[in-house]
Amino acid sequence: MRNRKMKDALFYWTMLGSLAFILAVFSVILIVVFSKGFPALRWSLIFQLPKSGYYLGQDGGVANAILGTLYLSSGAVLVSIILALPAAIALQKDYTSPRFAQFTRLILDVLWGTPSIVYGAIGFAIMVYLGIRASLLGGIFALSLVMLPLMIRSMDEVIRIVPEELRETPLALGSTRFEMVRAVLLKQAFPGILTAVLLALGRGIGDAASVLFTAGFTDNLPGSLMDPVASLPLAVFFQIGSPLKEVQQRAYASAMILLFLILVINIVSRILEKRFTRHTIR
Amino acid sequence: MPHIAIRNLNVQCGDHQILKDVNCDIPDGCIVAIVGPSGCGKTTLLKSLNRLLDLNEDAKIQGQVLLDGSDIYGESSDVLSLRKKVGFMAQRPYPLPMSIQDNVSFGPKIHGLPDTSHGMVERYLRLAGLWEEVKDRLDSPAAKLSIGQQQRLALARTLAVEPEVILADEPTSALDPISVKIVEHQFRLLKSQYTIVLVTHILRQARRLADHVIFMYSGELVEQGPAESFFAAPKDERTRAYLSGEIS
Ligand SMILES: Nc1ncnc2c1ncn2[C@@H]1O[C@H](COP(=O)(O)OP(=O)(O)OP(=O)(O)O)[C@@H](O)[C@H]1O
Ligand SMILES: [Mg+2]
Repeated sequence: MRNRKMKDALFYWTMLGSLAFILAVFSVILIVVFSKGFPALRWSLIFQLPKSGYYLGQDGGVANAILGTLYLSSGAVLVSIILALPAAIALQKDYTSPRFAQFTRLILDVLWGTPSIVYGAIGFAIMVYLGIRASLLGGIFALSLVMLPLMIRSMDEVIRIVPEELRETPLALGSTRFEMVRAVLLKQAFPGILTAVLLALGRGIGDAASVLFTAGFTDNLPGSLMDPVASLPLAVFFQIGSPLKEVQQRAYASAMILLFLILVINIVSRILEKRFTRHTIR
Repeated sequence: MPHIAIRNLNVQCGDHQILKDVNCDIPDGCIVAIVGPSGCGKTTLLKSLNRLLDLNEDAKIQGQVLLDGSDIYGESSDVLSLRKKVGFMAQRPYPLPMSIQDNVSFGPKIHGLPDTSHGMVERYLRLAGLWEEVKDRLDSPAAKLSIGQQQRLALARTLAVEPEVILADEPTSALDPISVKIVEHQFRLLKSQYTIVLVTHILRQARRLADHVIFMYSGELVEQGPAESFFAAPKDERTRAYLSGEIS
């Protein structure tokens, strides 16, 4: 009896301990970013383009990178959703043999862990072959490659856990598979699908390596899909390497802006999620 | 001609023979009850009648199921229209993730039936004995209903596609005694227009409802016949043992 209670208490404290440890480590990271970045944070940083000599400590801001990151990641998320959702549904046993699906999942899981610089390099090679230079289009393409495996696999997992009997319900009424997918799988898995999109976005939005060769970097805003585009991760990367303290601080301030963007995106999608889960079967 | 005729039906999952050479005729306009101990293959038999068994990729199905004389497993058979004709209510009811009203009109809509109106929804909810409880919240999520209400919603949803045959897998298992009475009463009313096959664990329910009884035991169809003679004078030793409660 006492032994069982002790085990329970031990388990409880172990859980709490790991959580506290994780929170502590990440708090330190956040505190470093904030304390280093805060002195450099001002409206001009957010709303102005870099002026000449910005990277040597002159005036200006990273509006080019903020907008560039929004363009790149929203484009890549859009492309990824359009490809990932059908692909994730195709992996379900209603459409593919479980053995083939298992094999594909393995491949995707491996791809998910591939360093994003590899996607950047491959994307770049393809662009050279097609005669496209570093551009918004190229960046979106490379970033989609980074996001896709993670997005497909997380969508796949949340669609897979929809109970068998729930899938059977519309089919038993004589629905086609497509009608079943629409009426049941997508609705039931919606919160999970949203999470999958967010996970992939989180993986992509902060990624510097994939856009390094493919999107390029510029102090201006892109006028078309074929123009090079700046991004926040690269802005952080270029500034953090500077020997000047001011410029380094701006790197951390830029990272804060990136964190803030991710926060806003998450909050908005949580609100969206509430509106779409009224009918979910638990 | 019987409405449904099952001929030498064998179902195998891996090396497990779930149904062994089942033969039987299901007549029109009456209630057929399938009884038997847990795991004997009742659900499997029921699912084979509208090809829901096809969804199980390791199930190997051999033999014939003739609906109005044509084999539902034959080349020219169309699964979607078969399932419209032969409705199925699962052992555990699952509402579709949508409103109560949309649950009922889902079937008519996908099959392009002419009437998908509010009146149609009301008619079938009344038929399933659920109308009074939900008439003020037709737009609220079906997921919020109690299990018993969900079971009656499943009945309304099945009836709404205007099937000829209703397959019901323990349709009253989640209901309180009063709802059981309502649903049993509905089945009695429905039987003149439909062929009803229901699986039940409860022998007394079979006695109350069935015109014809099928007794399954470990994948075999052991005995079948009109309800009176089945209960009064069972022929097989195993049927007698089951009826007297020695095997359950
Ligand atoms: N997908 C499957 N794969 C392998 N075996 C299965 C599968 N589905 C059912 N079985 C087996 O087939 C047998 C019959 O199952 P079935 O569900 O038809 O029984 P049942 O008579 O409906 O039982 P219950 O009264 O408990 O619902 C059981 O032994 C079960 O374990
Ligand atoms: Mg069963």
